[in-house]
Amino acid sequence: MLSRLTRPAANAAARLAKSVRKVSTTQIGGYEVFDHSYDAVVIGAGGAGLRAAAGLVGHGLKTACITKVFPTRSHTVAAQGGINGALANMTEDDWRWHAYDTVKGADWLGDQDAIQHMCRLAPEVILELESFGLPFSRTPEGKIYQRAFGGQSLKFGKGGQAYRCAAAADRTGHAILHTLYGMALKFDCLFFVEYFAMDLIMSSHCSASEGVKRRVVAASRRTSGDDGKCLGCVAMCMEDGSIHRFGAHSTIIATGGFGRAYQSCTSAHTCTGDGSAMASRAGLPMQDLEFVQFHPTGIFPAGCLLTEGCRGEGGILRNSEGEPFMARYAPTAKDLASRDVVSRAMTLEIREGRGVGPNKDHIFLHLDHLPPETLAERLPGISETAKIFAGVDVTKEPAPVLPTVHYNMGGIPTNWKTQVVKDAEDTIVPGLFAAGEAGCASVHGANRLGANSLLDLVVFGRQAADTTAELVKPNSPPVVLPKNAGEASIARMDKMRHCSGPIPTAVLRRELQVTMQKYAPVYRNADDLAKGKEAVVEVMKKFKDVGVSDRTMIWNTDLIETLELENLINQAAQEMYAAEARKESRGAHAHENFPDRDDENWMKHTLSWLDKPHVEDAKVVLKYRRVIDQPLDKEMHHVPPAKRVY
Amino acid sequence: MILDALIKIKDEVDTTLTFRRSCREGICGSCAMNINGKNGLACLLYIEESSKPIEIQPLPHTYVVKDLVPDLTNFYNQYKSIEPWLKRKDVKGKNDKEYFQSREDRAKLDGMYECILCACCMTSCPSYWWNPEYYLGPAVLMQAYRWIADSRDQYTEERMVYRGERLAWVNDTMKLYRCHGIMNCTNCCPKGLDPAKAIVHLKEQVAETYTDGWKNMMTQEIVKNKGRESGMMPLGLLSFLEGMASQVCVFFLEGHVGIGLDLGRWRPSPVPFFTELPDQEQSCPPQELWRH
Repeated sequence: MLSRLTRPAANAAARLAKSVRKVSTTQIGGYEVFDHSYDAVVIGAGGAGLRAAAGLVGHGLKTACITKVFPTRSHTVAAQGGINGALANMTEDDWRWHAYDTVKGADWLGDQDAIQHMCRLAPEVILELESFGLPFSRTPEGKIYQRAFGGQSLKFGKGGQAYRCAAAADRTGHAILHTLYGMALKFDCLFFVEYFAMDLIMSSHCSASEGVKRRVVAASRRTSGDDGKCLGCVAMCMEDGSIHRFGAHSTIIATGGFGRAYQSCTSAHTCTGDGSAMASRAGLPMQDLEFVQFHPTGIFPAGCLLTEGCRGEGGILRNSEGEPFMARYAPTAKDLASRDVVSRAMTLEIREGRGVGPNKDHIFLHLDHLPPETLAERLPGISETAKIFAGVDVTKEPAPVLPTVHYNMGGIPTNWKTQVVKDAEDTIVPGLFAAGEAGCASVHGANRLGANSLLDLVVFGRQAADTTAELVKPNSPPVVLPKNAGEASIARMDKMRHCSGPIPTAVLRRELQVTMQKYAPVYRNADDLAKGKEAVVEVMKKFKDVGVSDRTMIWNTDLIETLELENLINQAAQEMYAAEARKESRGAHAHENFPDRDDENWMKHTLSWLDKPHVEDAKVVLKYRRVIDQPLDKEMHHVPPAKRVY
Repeated sequence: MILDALIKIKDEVDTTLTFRRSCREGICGSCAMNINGKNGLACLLYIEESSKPIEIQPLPHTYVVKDLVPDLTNFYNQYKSIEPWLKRKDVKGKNDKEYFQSREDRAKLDGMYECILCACCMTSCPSYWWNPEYYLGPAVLMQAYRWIADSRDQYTEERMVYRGERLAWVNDTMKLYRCHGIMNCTNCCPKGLDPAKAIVHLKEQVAETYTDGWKNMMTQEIVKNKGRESGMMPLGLLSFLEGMASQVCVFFLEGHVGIGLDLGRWRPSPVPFFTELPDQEQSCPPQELWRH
């Protein structure tokens, strides 16, 4: 049973394993390059990445999981509220009602086949997590406790509030990530911890920039480009600076979102859209990047998250007049309306002068009317967070909150099986998958319901593993990497390491964040978006003048942050262009000049490319792709578009 | 917060300053470091008004990779060794629901499942400093107890087998009994958890459930780990004689305990052996007061 006391560190294991062949290339400044070969490689070890890695090992595939932080530091750990699933522990429930709520929450931009898949599998994955030891909170009967959450209803919206968010107090993300990490340990997954993935290796006989141009042109001409298969990725070990090329028959990107493109966000410092930018540099499109979710209750001014579960347990938002104003904006759901509705309501209240505080610039979240025992049992984590970051005792006083950037609904476009698609015809990129926040299946469409993201991670992490197992046999022959694979990437990293431009990384990053916060906030308008486009182009051009002071190869966080900044700019530019182009209001994209939803012209996904891999000389190209409005099979009816009222 | 200061220094003064950070809200555990002599999370500690500079060091007694970045590989391996996942002998049927767990049983996990694996407690423990390869340390022992206390294997008759194995694994002079109740762990935990108490419970459970079968396993472990108690290697003939004497002594003692615990040195005790806590210059956020 407990026979393995100590295992060699991942680095040592990698060097000893037979799959490693040391190759040194002296062409690019003499970097030491190690080649690895696996059946599957997972980039990212958050909820989706760990579930995918564990699933792959469970299927018998030789798997490597590359992560730039230790797995339990991934931002999944900060999720608080819960994971949705029609377990029917509190009331009668049906996954079709959950699917309906999700389609409506997505403002009909979600792909109904993926939504059906996710909601149908929800009870099974939650029970699977519980069987690995997840310490869910419990009902008096001993069943998994489920709380009310935003946008959840019974009987297709007609049966009142649904209680389907399975929770572990208000630390569900923490519990899920630690449980998944335990699961990964049980399955003996091989981790490459603190390896920064730099670029994908695609099968193309030309250099990266040529390949991008060909692919974008090919996509727009509706012909299939070159082979375009993903062969693996290139990563840099942060501990010693060595470069590693991972050849794999299946590469799964699970690197999360890019919340750090904004000045104020609930996201961690590590949320910089690395995997998505890697796919973008490989000539692949991003989908629906303009849809950025503003979580209604981020602590003001720190930005730390207060879960929607606060409102689920009975918390109420009040303005300076003490009025529970959500009753005006969402008569049925009130404070538990969908997040974009609540954020817009709060923004309007502040605009109309009813904000609280000396500058009337935020709103109060009241939990003081709830019994202290409830707060201690169900919301202990946020009680502590409010105390530390806002100096507030939530049993006695309200907490100051403001809508804060929280989640990216958009990402790498995939089908419901998590296979990446590269154009409007749904042409699959062989060997590449995306799951979690980095992917866009699209289950969240224009707006995500709370507690659906943790579900998205586990369902699509598992699906990525299952789809890979269908396509890849265990112990497949090693992938043959092109001889110069990763050369462009190494050259770029080397250039960044030695760049000595006048603009420090932190200054340029700040400029990007201020630009995004100013020109693409909760409410957007044509003027601001046009100015925002110009400002973002400025930032893109300035990237060539960025300067890095740290020249070492050992734990060079200056270099890493600069590479992350490039990824942020890559994603933010596409977001700004996509937002400016979408002339309607849908879900989280609220356009003041076009306040209504326009299904006739705009019920479609945005696809965006950068026409060159490097941001300093790239331009954004936009195309569109249809929404999949039919479910997978007969078990669920198609949900026809309707007016979205809560 | 202190983390904000570090980030400002990195951004504006010296970009080569290196430290781990991620969530900045005290839930990921990346930014654990030693601030004014006490371990804690930089993102949760306020910058106090003071005429003296704030002294920031990496976590004590760790291999430092660079600046404030320690190597925690040993800690992660030890965490893996206690097998932190639910273990059951039965297999769930396809249509089976969740394992039922009463609210009282679930409440037993409170105060343990919240551990963020930041390693503040591990690297504040002098016992762990002297024996990091053998002593499991407070965080790992608390997680070992978290799985032992989880009632969800209560529904199999073989419960005691797995519980017993988990307990037998830690029941070892070097793994569990290097804890002498120094209490630095509880003192510095940034989440307000109490590893020392969990270790006391662990020792109690070991005492309750010990069976003879453990004795062999344990005796072998003791012999294997002889001489490492102090962590210091005395020199020459004296040490050889000392070693012989202590071996005989201990063997004799151990051989007659039967329940694996003697009532002398390794008595489980909620009272710390050191009753004085070191002077705290760095004040801590309010959750310090929530501990009993």
